[in-house]
Amino acid sequence: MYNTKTLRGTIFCAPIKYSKEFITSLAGVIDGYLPMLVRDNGVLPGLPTWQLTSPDEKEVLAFNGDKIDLVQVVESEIGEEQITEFASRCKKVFGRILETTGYVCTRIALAPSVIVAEKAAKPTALYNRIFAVRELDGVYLDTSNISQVYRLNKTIGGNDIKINHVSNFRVENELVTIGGINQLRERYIGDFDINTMVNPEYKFSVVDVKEFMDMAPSCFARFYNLYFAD
Amino acid sequence: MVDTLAKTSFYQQLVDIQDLSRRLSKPLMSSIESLNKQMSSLNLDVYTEALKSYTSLADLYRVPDYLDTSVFIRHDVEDGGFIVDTPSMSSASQDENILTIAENTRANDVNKANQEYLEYLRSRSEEIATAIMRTEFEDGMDNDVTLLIRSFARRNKSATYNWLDELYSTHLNLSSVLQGILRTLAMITERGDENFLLPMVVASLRSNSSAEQEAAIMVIEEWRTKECLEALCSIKNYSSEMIADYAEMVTKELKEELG
Repeated sequence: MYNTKTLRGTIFCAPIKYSKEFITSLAGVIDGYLPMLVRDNGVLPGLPTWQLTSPDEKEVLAFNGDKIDLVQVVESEIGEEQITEFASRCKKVFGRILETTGYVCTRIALAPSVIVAEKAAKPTALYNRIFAVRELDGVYLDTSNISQVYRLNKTIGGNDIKINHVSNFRVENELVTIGGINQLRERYIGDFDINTMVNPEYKFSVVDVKEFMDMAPSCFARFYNLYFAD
Repeated sequence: MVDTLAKTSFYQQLVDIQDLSRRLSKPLMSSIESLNKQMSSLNLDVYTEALKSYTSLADLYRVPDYLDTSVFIRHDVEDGGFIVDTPSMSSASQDENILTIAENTRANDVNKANQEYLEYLRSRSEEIATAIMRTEFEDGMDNDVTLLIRSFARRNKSATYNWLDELYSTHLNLSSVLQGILRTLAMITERGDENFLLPMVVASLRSNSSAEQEAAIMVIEEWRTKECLEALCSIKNYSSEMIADYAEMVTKELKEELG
């Protein structure tokens, strides 16, 4: 069993500044979220960086300059249903933002982080599989250096679009308190990211974002299968 | 020789002078002939043209002291002359490999790619500022500078706009650069970009230079947003009557359009 740690949906568009009018325009989609200005997070100087956090702190809508992230913290089993539900949420939030601003976006992504294994079960078998020659939907592995990328051709809005299927495996150390004693917990995390490739010709409307989000769950189902299928 | 001539008869002096001129003229004539040969072997047109083009362009482009202009002059083999390149003509494609593309969309990787491209643009700042100064901007027409900066923005819009903002603030004493940046903005920006770039336009609206104010109004005319209209309405004094009329015309248009 593999659990998702976080789910992230992303669009790249013109920067959006913090304003009460803009937040009001998100009513019905983002309600009661608390705004916070963010500084020194590596975004280029001059670009607005702020975020809205849900009251239960399980969801964050982050405006990171030219990139808007919708991040959900979840710890439930990976699966197509989970992705479908989150993709639907992304459609709603990003759809409203693009409708309100009239912007188009240049890149779309859906990117879950999966807990691959706890320290107790080092995923040797998984690593052996990762670094074996693989193919996805008839496309062979493009890169295999720490992260792996498959670039698949898909159609969005009637246009041929290259979609990156990126996986990146890393070790994450977490300090946890067990029985009053601080202990280091080591977890193997798999970051997955299905996104439209960087291309100045790509422009996506609200309809295109929805099409991408509708397509994403089945893409993930096949992509996950490469790594997690028995 | 003169003493010797003084002591001899006039006839003898004539003979001696004749002899002397014969001895001197031989190598002299030979040297002149040799020089003629060398001169005829040279394509003097090349040098004449080079000189002409260099002096005329030197007059045309006022080059700042801190810049080594020689890097922009190249020899044109076909025409046999010299051509002064505006720096913008230097190909950006040779630096193609410096652009890191974030395969994934994680904040760290995206920020790193943005930062890397910004550093690259910073390294070209003086070169491009000079190109802007040398370029004649025509209303609504692309030129080498607008094409180059548009190509930067197509690769990485955030880094390019950040860099233009820096370029603007580091050339506040050079109105021609500021005008050029604004005229470039009017040509390359898309909807939504004005959020980030408006401070430059507002600063130039408040300038004493009529050319700079005109360039700022042109950008506003292109963007046509509520924020632009507010900025335009906040300006009380224009540097010339013509600019005041232009501003009034655009303000009226935007009020009608935006309600």
